[in-house]
Amino acid sequence: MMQFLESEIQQYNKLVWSTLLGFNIQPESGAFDFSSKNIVTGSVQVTGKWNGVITLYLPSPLVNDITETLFSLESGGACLETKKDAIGELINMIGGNIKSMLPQPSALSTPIFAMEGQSQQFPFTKKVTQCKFTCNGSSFALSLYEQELAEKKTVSA
Amino acid sequence: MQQFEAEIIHYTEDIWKSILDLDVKKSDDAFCQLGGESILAGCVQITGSWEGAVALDCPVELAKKVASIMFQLKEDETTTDLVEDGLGELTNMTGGNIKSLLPEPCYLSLPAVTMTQHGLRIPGSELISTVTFKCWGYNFRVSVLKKVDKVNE
Repeated sequence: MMQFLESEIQQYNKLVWSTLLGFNIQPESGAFDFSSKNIVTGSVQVTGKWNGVITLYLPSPLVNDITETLFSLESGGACLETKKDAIGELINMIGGNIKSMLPQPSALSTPIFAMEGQSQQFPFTKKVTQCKFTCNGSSFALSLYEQELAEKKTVSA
Repeated sequence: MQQFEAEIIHYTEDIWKSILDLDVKKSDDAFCQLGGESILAGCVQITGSWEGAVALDCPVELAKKVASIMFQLKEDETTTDLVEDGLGELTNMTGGNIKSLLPEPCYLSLPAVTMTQHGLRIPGSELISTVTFKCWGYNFRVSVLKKVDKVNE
């Protein structure tokens, strides 16, 4: 069964990676290993008519490739700050494209990150779309989480 | 005094008292992790007329105690999901109160909760205020960050 905006997400993601980085990415079947300690996560949140989160899960070697390409660095030249800038730019562009397909008005937040060995969770959301891709021999994933309206454990002030 | 410092203190003391019945007090200690303990970092982002984020950095052990009180469970019954939900809820309430001080219209994002050794970092933002609190011998921190205007960078 097709997930929420699945084909659009695949299409826009391919477009952004091609335009920004010149990378050719392909959708891939199968489950993504979210438990790996080698994953870097970048997220942007959408608030407004539609509320949720767009999250990119990237393996470290691919983060290095992206950073070196985006900033024209030599191999091994990517530092923590440039990596964050690179992932931030990427998730911001992907998020901006996905936002344009969501009910308006809605706004995009600044990106937040979880580097290797960290984990990032979004309480009160449910995953509505998960797409897996392959690029330069590495698998990565893009997920869409939507706010859960039926709250099971609400605590009010 | 930093911008919003008095309000951060007031709202944080109020929220922890009303939701958890816990007395928390501002601490003059610098926020630092003990022996590399893990930190759960909650964050809500604000978009609109004012753009930035409100972050709550809390040691995992304290976050477990918070979840056990919030969901009326024994501490060993709190799952990771509940601990994250609890911190997300506290972050959401803190952010909601801070948002009320900001120019309208502003919108609050969903909370994100990150397990980290270093506290959450939000590139493109500058710290405008941070206050450390003490609860049960644990330090936790509430911070307000403002998005940096790229024109002025």
